[in-house]
Order: sequence, then structure tokens, then C-alpha cells
Amino acid sequence: MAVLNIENVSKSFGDTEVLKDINIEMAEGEFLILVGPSGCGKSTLLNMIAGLEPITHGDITLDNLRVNERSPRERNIAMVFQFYALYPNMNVRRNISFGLKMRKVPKGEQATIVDRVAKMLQIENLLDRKPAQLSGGQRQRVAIGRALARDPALFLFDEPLSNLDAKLRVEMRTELKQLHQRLKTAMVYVTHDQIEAMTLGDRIAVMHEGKVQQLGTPREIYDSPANRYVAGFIGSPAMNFITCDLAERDGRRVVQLDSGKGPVDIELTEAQSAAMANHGQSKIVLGLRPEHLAPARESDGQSLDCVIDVVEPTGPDTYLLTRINDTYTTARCTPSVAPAAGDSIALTFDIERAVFFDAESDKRIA
Amino acid sequence: MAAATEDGIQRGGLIARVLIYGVLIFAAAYFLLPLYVMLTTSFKTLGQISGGSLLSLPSPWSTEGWSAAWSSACTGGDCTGLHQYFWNSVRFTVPAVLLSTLFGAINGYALTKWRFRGSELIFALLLGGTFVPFQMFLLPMANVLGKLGLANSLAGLTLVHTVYGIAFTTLFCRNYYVSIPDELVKAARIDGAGFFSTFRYVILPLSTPILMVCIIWQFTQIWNDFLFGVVFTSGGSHPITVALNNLVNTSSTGIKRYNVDMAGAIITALPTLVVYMVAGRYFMRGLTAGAVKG
Ligand SMILES: Nc1ncnc2c1ncn2[C@@H]1O[C@H](COP(=O)(O)OP(=O)(O)OP(=O)(O)O)[C@@H](O)[C@H]1O
Ligand SMILES: [Mg+2]
Repeated sequence: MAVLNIENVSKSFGDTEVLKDINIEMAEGEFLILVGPSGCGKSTLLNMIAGLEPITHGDITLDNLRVNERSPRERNIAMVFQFYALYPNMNVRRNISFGLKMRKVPKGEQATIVDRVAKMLQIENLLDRKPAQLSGGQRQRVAIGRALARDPALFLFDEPLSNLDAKLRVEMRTELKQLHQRLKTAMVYVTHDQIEAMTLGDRIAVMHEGKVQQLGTPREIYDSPANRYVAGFIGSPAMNFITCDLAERDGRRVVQLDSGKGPVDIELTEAQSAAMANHGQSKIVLGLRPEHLAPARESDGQSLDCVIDVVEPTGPDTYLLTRINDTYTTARCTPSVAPAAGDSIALTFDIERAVFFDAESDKRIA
Repeated sequence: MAAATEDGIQRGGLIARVLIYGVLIFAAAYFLLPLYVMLTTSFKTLGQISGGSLLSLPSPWSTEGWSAAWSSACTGGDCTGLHQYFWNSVRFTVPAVLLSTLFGAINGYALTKWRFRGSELIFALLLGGTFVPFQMFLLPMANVLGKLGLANSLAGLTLVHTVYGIAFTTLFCRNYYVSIPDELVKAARIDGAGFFSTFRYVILPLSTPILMVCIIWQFTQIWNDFLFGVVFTSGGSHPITVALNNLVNTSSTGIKRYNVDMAGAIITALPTLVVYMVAGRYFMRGLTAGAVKG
């Protein structure tokens, strides 16, 4: 049974269309991530689910009930905002219980719920403080507590962690994941942080220019991106995109790569060859993640001699920048085998993991 | 050079300092002197006033002028002092101030947090209302009051001042409420609060500073108003400003009783002073601190 169903939804502000034909169906207990760059319409979509923005076209269904015309009060949802939005005049206890008070929950029951929520979030000692007397992390906990108190069918989060410093963010991320595992309530979570998206989501909807570019599990999004936009957005450092020519050798397709020392042919797999043959174009874009390009060992077959321009140690990994087909390309290696800048070494391609895009439409070919 | 000051800002040499203080003291004296003369004169007897210097202190102090101004001086035909008119003014000023402030707050809240089709136009029209001069109101308003059966009554005057003041209070409140984050209202709506409960529980508690601004502004305007008072009321229902004018211009004996006039003027001005002092203390800043990332 679907908790949330978004069907052919679009949204315009005056003449500008900010969301186009969105379709998302969400299963019970699912953690769904909406991720995309600033201005792509994530918050707008979330506000429409919450009932804070009217829907221009299409239908939104919650628990199999069409809610287009219902106010937020009449939808069984709770929401956590980016800037916390705690009521500054109320202490933490009253912030958490305000939603219960508005829904006329009896006083005694309110107190029980506040205590339960405070315990779950470890904010029992903060209940009598005003929001101004809390740190950023504590405020965000209270904001989450306010949502939890309602025990809704669906939680909505709008970039709840983006105001926290890096360390706290990682901690809260883990807590949120544990919270979801405990509650098993469906959550829609907006972020523009792809790490948050990958770590938290059961499924991810990558949005761009008002459209859902791809909806899938983190694995699907990472390994089989639907187009060049999704491939470049997810993953850090970003996927390399190398424009190259296709040729044929011994019945197999090869891509021609040049690191400045003359072209070298890299042979594609059978499946890739078939897809290329089907596609028919001779110029394509090769997408290769940094971890699939590494210094070659003796045993490796296909490799390319490259001059390393920049060496970037990050701790566990070292990234190497080189030029292939006149495009800056990032390779990854362990620090122990890292060359020095200016060295020339052989890099090997994990071509089975490579993806290919149409040079014009940016759609994935194989 | 000057030594380091408490706040670490250098303020130039001795000469500059003397000059600055000199100018400030002169300006203060310039504005305080009339008040001094009013106060001392109000406590003198008529004999002391005609005999002594303008700046001398009263000796002995006499409250004759004050009691006459309050309860026995003649304002036009009737010789019962200002007290009746003082209460008249209280009776229409207090409700008019409270009503116009309340409506201004609700308008400002609706215009910023519940934007609707045409809300910008309505705001523009209200803004226009602040530019309309008093005089333009007179004839149409007299007409309306007559039709409502409120001509020559304090209720009518309350209505006039409330309506005229709403344009100002709406402007003040709207400009204050745009700085309150919209997310607070969204959060309240998600929590199940409607238009009025959001206003009552979320917006109003954050509004103290701007409500005080509205109250001070409206109280000063309405209490000190003369024109509406003289046009829309008559006789026993005049406000104190009109009565003061009558008091100063009525002299049964042909002698100007300066002590009574001064005491009457101070009685008339006192309430606005008190409102400044009481309401000014609630001008708290930073009430929204902690609502958002701070
Ligand atoms: N009330 C509005 N009137 C007109 N345009 C709006 C309004 N609200 C949002 N927009 C536009 O809609 C688009 C999507 O906005 P939205 O806030 O949903 O983006 P977002 O994906 O949440 O971005 P961010 O990551 O920066 O929060 C933006 O181009 C924005 O300018
Ligand atoms: Mg947003």
C-alpha cells in the first residue's frame, strides 16, 4: 500500500513552471530522498505534500486519500524545517506540545508524549529552556521532537541538517537513520548533500530543472545513472566524462584515448559493444568514476601511460589528476602507491564499470 | 592625544570634547527651559507672576493654579475645570488606541503571512491612507457619522480615530512582520493552527516592540488631536485639547491667569509623557532570537 502517491504533479508560480510532471510512489516505511541543486524545486514539492503550497496540476494522495484541497491540519504529516522554526516565545516543552494542544489532545496525554519524545532524543534536561538558549544541534533535535510528538503517517524533512557544522551533521545523520529504523514511519527527506542522500535513502529521486531525472535505490543511481546529469551529481569526486571516438577492431568496439602520447585503444565488453553498435554514433562520452581508474599493476591488461599533473592526498585515498583526451581526469589510488606530481605512470581502466552517454542528448547508452 | 576610552574609540582632544558638550548642553537647555518656565509658573500665585522674574522659583509654592485648572476654571460657559474633559479624552483615546493597534496587527499579519490575490494592492491602498490629510476626512466623515447616528458622540470620535489610525498601525506592523520568518507560520500550520490561533500563540507574543510603537504613536496622535475633536463633538463631550483651548481663551475677569493656563497645559500633556515612559520600557529588541539559526 502506498503511503504517498504523487501523480503527474506540476507547479507554476505565475508564468514560471518550477515543477514538471512529477510521479513518485512511496511504500510504507520507506525513506525517500529528494536531492538536487539549489532552486530545482525540492522545497516546493515538499510544501505541496504538506499542504503549504497549492497544486497547479496533478494529484497527491496520502494513505489512498486525495488531499489536494486539504489543509496541512487535515493531512497526517509532520514536517521539520531547515531553519528549525521553533517558536521563540515558548520553551522546549511547549514547542513540542503545541501541535498536540492545537489538536486538543488532553493535557495529561500531552505530558506523557513530551516525556517519551524527550527521552528518545535525549533532550529531557532542556525541556524548560527557550530556543535562544539552545545550540544549533539541540534546536534541531527539538524541531525533530516536535514532529515526532504527532506520530504522523509521513515525516517531511526540508534540509534539516544543512545548518549544522560538519561533525554534528554526521552524528545527526546516523541518529536520524537509527530513528527511522526504530519508528519504521515513511519519511521524505530533502537535501542537496549527495552523501546524506546515499547514506540515508532507501530510494533517491534526483531532481534537476523541475523534473525527476531518476528515481531508484542508491546502488542503481550510483552504478547505473540514467543520464549524464545524475552521473555527475552523485559521487565525490565527480565521475570523469571523457569525450572519445569509437572504432572497431577484430569485431569488438574500442574507444580511443590519448594522454598526449598518441591514441591507445581500450576494448569494450561484449555487452557494451552491442549497445554501441545499436546506437550507431561514432562520438560518445565515456563516464568513469575515479575509483575505476587506478595505477596499473603488472597483471593488468589494458592501460594508458599518463603524466600526473596534480596529486591530492585526502587521507585514506590519494587522487591523481591527469589529462586524457584534453579533459582533466581524476584517478584514485592508495597513498602507498601514489606517484609524485610530474611522474608518468600507467593507469588501468575498469572498463566493465564504465558507462556511456550520447554526446548530444546526455542520455545513457550503456 | 586622548587616552583610550571605555569602548576603545578615540574621541579627539579636549577642545573638541568641550565643544561637543557645550552644544549638547545648550540644546538641552533650549528645549528644557520652556518646560521649566511652565512648571514654575504653574506653582506661583498671580501676584508672584506679575511681580517676580520669569525664571525665579515660586515662594511659597502654591497649588492654587492646579486645583483651579482641574476643577473650577471656566472653559467657555461652564466653570468646572478640565477634569470632565480629561476623562472624555481617556474614554475615546484608550479604546481607539487599542482597537487601531489590534486591527493594524491583524492586517499586518494577514498581509505578510497569508498573502492572497490582491494583497499587494490592498497594502498600497492602505499606504495611501497614511498620506491623506486630516482635512480631507472632515466632510465625508461627518456625513457618515450622521448616517450612523454617532454625530457629536464619543463613540463617533472613537470610530474616526480608529479608522484613521489603522493605515499607520498596519504599515508599522507589516514592516515588522516581514522580518519574522515565514517558516514559523508554516510550522504552526503544520502543527494544526489556523489563522487566528497562529496569530494568538505565535505572532502576537513576538510583537511586543511593534505594539508598543503603535501604542505610543496612536496615543500621541489621538490624545493630542484637536481638529477631529472640535469638528465631531460639541459642548460637554469635547476632548481635553479643545477644552484647554477654551480655558486659555476664556477670562471672566479680563486678567490672564498664567498659573491656571500652565497647569492646564501640563495636565493635558501629562498622559502622553506617561505613555512614553511606561511603553518605552517594553521596546525590547531581539525577541525573535532563537527562532531561526542564531
Ligand atoms: N513563492 C514563490 N514565487 C515565485 N517563485 C518561487 C516561489 N517559491 C519558489 N519559487 C521558485 O521556484 C523554484 C524552486 O524553489 P525551491 O525553493 O523549491 O527550490 P529548492 O530546490 O528547495 O532549492 P534550495 O536547495 O535552495 O532550497 C526556484 O526557482 C524559486 O525561485
Ligand atoms: Mg529548499
